[in-house]
Amino acid sequence: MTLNIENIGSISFITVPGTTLDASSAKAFKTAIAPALVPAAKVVLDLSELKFVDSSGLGAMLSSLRQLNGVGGDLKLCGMNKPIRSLFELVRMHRVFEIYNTREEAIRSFETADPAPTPAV
Amino acid sequence: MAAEESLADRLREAFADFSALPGIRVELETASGARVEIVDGPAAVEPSVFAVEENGARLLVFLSSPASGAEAFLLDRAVRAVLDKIEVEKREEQLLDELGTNWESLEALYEISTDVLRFGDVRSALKRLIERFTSLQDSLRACLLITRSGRLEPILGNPDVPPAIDWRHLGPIATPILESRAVVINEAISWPDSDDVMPWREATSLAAAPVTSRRQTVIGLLLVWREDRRFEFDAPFCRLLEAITHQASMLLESDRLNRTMLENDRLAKEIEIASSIQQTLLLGNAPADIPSLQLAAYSAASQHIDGDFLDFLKHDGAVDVLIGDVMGKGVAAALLGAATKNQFLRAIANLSIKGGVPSPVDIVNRAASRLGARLVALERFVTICYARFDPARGCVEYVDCGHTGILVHRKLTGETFFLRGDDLPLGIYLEDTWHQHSAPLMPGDTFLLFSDGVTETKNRDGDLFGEERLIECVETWSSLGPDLLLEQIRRECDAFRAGESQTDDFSCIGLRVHPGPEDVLRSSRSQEFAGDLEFLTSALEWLRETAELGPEGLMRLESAAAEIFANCVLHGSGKGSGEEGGNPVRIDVFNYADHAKVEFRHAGPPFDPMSVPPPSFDGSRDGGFGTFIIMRSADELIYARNGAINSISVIIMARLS
Repeated sequence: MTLNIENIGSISFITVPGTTLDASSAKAFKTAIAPALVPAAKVVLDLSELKFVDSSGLGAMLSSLRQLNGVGGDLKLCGMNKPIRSLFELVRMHRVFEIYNTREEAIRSFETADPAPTPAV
Repeated sequence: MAAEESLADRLREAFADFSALPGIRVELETASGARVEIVDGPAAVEPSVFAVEENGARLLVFLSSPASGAEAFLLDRAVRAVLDKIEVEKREEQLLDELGTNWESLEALYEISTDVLRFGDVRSALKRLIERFTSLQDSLRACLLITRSGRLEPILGNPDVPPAIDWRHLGPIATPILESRAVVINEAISWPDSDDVMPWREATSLAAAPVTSRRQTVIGLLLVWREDRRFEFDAPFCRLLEAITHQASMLLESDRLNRTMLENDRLAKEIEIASSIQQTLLLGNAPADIPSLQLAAYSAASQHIDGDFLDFLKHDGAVDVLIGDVMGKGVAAALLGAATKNQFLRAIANLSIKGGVPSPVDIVNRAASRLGARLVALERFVTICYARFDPARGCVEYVDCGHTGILVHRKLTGETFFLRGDDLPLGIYLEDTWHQHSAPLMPGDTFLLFSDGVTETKNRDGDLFGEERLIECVETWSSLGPDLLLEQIRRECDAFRAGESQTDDFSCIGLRVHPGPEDVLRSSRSQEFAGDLEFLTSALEWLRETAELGPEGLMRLESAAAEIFANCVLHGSGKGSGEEGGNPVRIDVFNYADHAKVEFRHAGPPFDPMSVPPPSFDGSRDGGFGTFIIMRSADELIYARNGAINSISVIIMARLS
């Protein structure tokens, strides 16, 4: 899996390719994102291309968040569609991740250092 | 004088050889200054003086003529050798006496240890102990006192048993005894005022040792005394007293344990009988043959017997459920529960004779009118919920008299809520009115009736399990059906208690309405997919095309199906977690009027959804989400094992818009 990484200021936007992040692709995603999980990195995962995430995909994102938090970095999510948002809410992960509707909202959250995201729809 | 004569005789015997020596005279000078001849000889002026005993007696040795240095030295050594010999012999005699006494004491102890075992009751054994002990010495008196309600009660005495006394009446011996120390006083004691009746008031020698419990708490004392002035209790006697008192402590402790054991046996038998009565009278069996309804019941009492009761009454495709909780616990509550349930059954029978099936409110009114006065008189009350579940009419009618309400999880809307009434429990007022409520009963609904012992399950910090956790349980596990739902509620409450004992009765009734009729099958299709995650996407695409569900239903089916397929491939290979297996996954889709049933079949190790630990929602762990997603996405989840094949079926209902 090749991730599209775009740096805007100090923030790295990573677009997850393909329409699914599930058991068949979660392992490849973890391998591909590993180089970006460096100390103090500010990472935003753009999920706008994704249509479906299962527990394996969710676990891969959770693992990335924990790794980054462990080295002083942060990982936020944006561009999530409604079914994926429902899955996050079902397993309460909307309380663990900061989720934003757009990239701009995610950038502003880093600039203001305000951890409270506006409700994503 | 007798002692001095005895000493003189011993000295004469010891110094007999000196009589053969010329020019030597030996005299004993007593403490009072009197002189007694030991060896006859010529008197001389300056004697050599030797101390003989601690009481001040001296031995005077006279020589008729002055001795040379060597002679004086030899004489001195010879006299001291004789005196030492006397001292050794005397000590030997004392040791022999003491050994004799100790031997007698040891024998007595052995006799007591073996004797007391023959006595059936502790009083006889203690009496034997005291009697045997006091027989060791003439004029020895004894009294065993045990604390009861803060006072010392003499339970045995020789020869007299005094009345109960306070610790202060023991004067100088109270403090050492309370500090678990033996005490010996070999003189007349100045006792506190009052009680002339204490038999040891005239004691001239007194010894006492503490009687202690298993935990070394002082629970009394054994007191012995004599009234003859010349006698003194010595150290060996004190040790014997302590041994006897230890024996008394053990007898009392053994008796206490024995009584506790007998009492526990009696209680256990009573509880066993009451428990079987409870199972027979209080707990009804959930009917299993009601079309379109599944029922399960579970009850666990906090003291094996309790006031929770429940019953079921099946009629015309509907089922009436009665659940109640009597204030209090134990046999009294169980009997009252049985009486209450009996009144409800009589009310149903009486009203049914008059025509038709009575309404829940009529049943409650009838039973309450018979019970109210008795409950008020007994100062007891009973909470009940009487509910009728009628799938044909699509409604549940209920009367809630101060009970916990009915928890409903509605699959068709995804909502979870309580049905509650606001009537008071039975037994609060003599005259009261009861109200019947009605609510829709929909396909896929899960209803939970429970006693407050469920939500009031406590952990060690005193936190309650509460309604929120119960709602979470129902939302997560209701797709497995009422049997497994109740089992999971019990497991989660047990886990929440974390070893703390269950303090309240715990009763649950689960009821699920079938998702919908399966008599008209609109369509069905089957497809087999290779056991490889590469085919997950194509399997999900096939399901989207095949299952006749709206977008919301398809989304939930997709979530559940992805987890089940991945589970079959990753964990069903038998090669260990994460190893992909080669066995294919067969998927069957059955489309009915208002729901779709999708069955996944796969050869692999057994998969038990109940065995998967729940996920951690704080993000600290990755595991457990898959099973959780399946159960929350599916409206019904059925797992079966057919030979080596796992069959996992999910039912997805078309939700109301």
